[in-house]
Amino acid sequence: MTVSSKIIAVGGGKGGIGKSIICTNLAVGMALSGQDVVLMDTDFGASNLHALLGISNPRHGFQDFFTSPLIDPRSLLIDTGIENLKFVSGAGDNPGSANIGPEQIQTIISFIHSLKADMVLLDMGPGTNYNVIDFFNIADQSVVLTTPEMTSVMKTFSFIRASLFRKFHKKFDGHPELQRMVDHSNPGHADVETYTVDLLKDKLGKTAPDLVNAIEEEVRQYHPGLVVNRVRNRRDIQVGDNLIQLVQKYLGMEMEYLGYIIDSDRVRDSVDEMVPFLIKDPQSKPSENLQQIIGALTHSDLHLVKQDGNIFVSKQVRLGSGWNV
Amino acid sequence: MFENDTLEGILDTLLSLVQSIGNMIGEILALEHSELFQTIQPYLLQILDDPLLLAGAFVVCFGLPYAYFKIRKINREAEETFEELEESDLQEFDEDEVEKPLFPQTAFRSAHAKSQPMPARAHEEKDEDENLEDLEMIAMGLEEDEEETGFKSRGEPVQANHKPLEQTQDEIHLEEEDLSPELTELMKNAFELDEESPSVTASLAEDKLSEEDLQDQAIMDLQAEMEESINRLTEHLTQKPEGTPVSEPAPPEPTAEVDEDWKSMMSETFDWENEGMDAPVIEDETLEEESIMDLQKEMEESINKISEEISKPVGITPNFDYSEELEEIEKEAETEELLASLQKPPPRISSASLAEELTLDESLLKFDEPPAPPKPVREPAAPVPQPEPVAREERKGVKPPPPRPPAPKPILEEKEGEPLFSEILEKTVSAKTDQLVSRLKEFQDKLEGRFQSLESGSVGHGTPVPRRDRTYERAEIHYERRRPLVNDREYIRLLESFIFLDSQKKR
Repeated sequence: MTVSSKIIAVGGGKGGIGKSIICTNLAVGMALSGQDVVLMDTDFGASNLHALLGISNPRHGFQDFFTSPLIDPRSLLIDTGIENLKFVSGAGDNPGSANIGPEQIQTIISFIHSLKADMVLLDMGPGTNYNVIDFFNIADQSVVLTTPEMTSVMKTFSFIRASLFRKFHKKFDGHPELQRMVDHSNPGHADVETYTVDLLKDKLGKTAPDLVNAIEEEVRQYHPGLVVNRVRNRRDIQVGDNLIQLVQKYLGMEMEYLGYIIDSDRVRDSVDEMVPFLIKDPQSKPSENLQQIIGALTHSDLHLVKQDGNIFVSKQVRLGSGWNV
Repeated sequence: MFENDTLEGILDTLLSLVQSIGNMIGEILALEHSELFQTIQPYLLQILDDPLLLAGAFVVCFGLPYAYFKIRKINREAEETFEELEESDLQEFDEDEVEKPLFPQTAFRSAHAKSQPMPARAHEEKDEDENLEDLEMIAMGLEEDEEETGFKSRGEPVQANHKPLEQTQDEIHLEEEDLSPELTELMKNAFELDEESPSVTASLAEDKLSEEDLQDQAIMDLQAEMEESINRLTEHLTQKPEGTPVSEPAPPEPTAEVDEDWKSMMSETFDWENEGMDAPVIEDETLEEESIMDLQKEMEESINKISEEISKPVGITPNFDYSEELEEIEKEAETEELLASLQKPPPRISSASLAEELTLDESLLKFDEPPAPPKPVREPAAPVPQPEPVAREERKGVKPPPPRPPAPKPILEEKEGEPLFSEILEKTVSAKTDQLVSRLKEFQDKLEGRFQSLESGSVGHGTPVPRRDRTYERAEIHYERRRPLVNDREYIRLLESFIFLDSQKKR
């Protein structure tokens, strides 16, 4: 394993849009391309990633990490049967596990940073609460997932905004005026009129103009990728562009359209069979879409072929990508 | 003048010649002393006096034989040319025609029969039937003579002619191990019936060669028909669904019961006094139609039931019920097709029925009908008992039709009406089956359309949902239905309206 790990977080505001499936197959594809990958289920309280990998009764989970402080963190890594892919399960969670405190979150984040792998993929839970956003914001590469439905797009926008504003909150910890503007967790003390980056900058320009540039710099550095799942037509693909326009208009962010995955029964079948669809049928259309997304994330061209039950991988790194692969 | 002198000179010369010849013949045969010459002498003298008569006499004496000879020669040449042409035509025809042996083997015969078109095959079967009838007539006549004279001497030709039949019997005995006891009994009966044939064949062996050929052909035909019937029976047995009870191995009582069923059905179909030959066919057809109508009714009920279920509000679980019901309907349809494919007459022919058929002459005499031959050689090719109809009745719970008073000796009439019966039955059953299959396909299309509507999210779109037995009130709904947005600007504006409050949007 390498020293520095790239953390990729897959999140989205709405539940049931395919975050776990996409995150699992991203991890599988990257592992098949020869990278050491750790897949983590950070959907505390409703973990299900082990089921997608067909791992029943995992030996350890994050609960062991909290209940047994002396446990070796490396014992949490579970073999998946796929070369180069380890898995940290969230199984064994109890009701209320999603409401872990900030200290526990920080402990887990420290654990994630301590992992020695090429890639660490985090599967986020739904919603925009801080327990989700804080894990999402530690990622070096954020992947926001949405589906073409209007409700999903709305929630995705809210998720991106919450993520960005949480970044502001974390970044400018010593500026209570800014904290009041971006932290809406306590509406009684929050400035509810700063719901866009432009409004925030306007407000900051009046009270703390020196922070405006810092805010702009933070916005400039944050460019999550967008994946539209369950696409059925060209119009659905266009939904991703519309969302990017909306984010650019109100948050000033530049999002990268990583790609889309078409709606297919093969994905559903792979879930039923507990085999990632990238392995089950790497030449299917959803698998091809996913390989393009992996290529966009890793700045490489990945191609998988399955013959006689064996999967053959072809990978070409794009020149000048700067991606440590 | 010169010409007249010349002609007269020639005539004189001829006359002198004729006279000299006549004198010579007269001297040789002493005609002058015979009365015949004396009677014709005046005529001869008259002929000699008249040149026309003399010329006529010459024509009669020489011209007619020459003409006769010439005509014969021309006729012979014409015949030769015709024969040559005929031989050349026959050679050309033989090149195209499949060689038909005098005593065709069964395999060749079946293949040839299959390759023939239906009318030709029917014609051939008709010819075979006629030949068999002629053969049976001859056999009956010989048997009657035999009974009268008490002469019984059946020699070697009988064995020689019967040998192929024995071989066939051995082959079939080998196959009997794999067949049901019912089939075994039938085959035994058939061979018992065949054993009657040596007397016929033996009598024919002492007759002319043509009769011997007829006999051989009859035996071969019998053999072919038996093999065809056995093959058909084995196919039916292999098509028989699992769990179908196989009948008992020919114990007398069950066979008698089956015979009674068969007789009752046969007796239903015949009305000797009021109806003609076609009546039983119609009756059988109606019986079959009744059973088919029962099945069809069941299918219709199930389809209607499912159609009602389709019109109900959609739930997830009922889909599985529909699939199960669909499977049931498909099974029923398959069973119906299977039953329809098996030809109707399930005659459980036993030794009793065959013996009854052998005594048909008396019945025929009783009804003052022309003495038709009993066709013993046709009986083994009769339809083999099929257990499927019985199983169907058990499964469907359909009672068999009530037995009618038995009609006297219906077997021969049934045999004569059987081809027509089978043809009509096949047409009827195929039509009914096609109808059922088409209805099943419609039902499947309806189900598929429903699933598609489920997938597209338009549940119950276009189909009225029936109300339940409850009180309904019209709901007051005031909302503006939006059409799907195509314009990106409108889409983003709509998104903004959903994300931000009205006051937020204004800012």
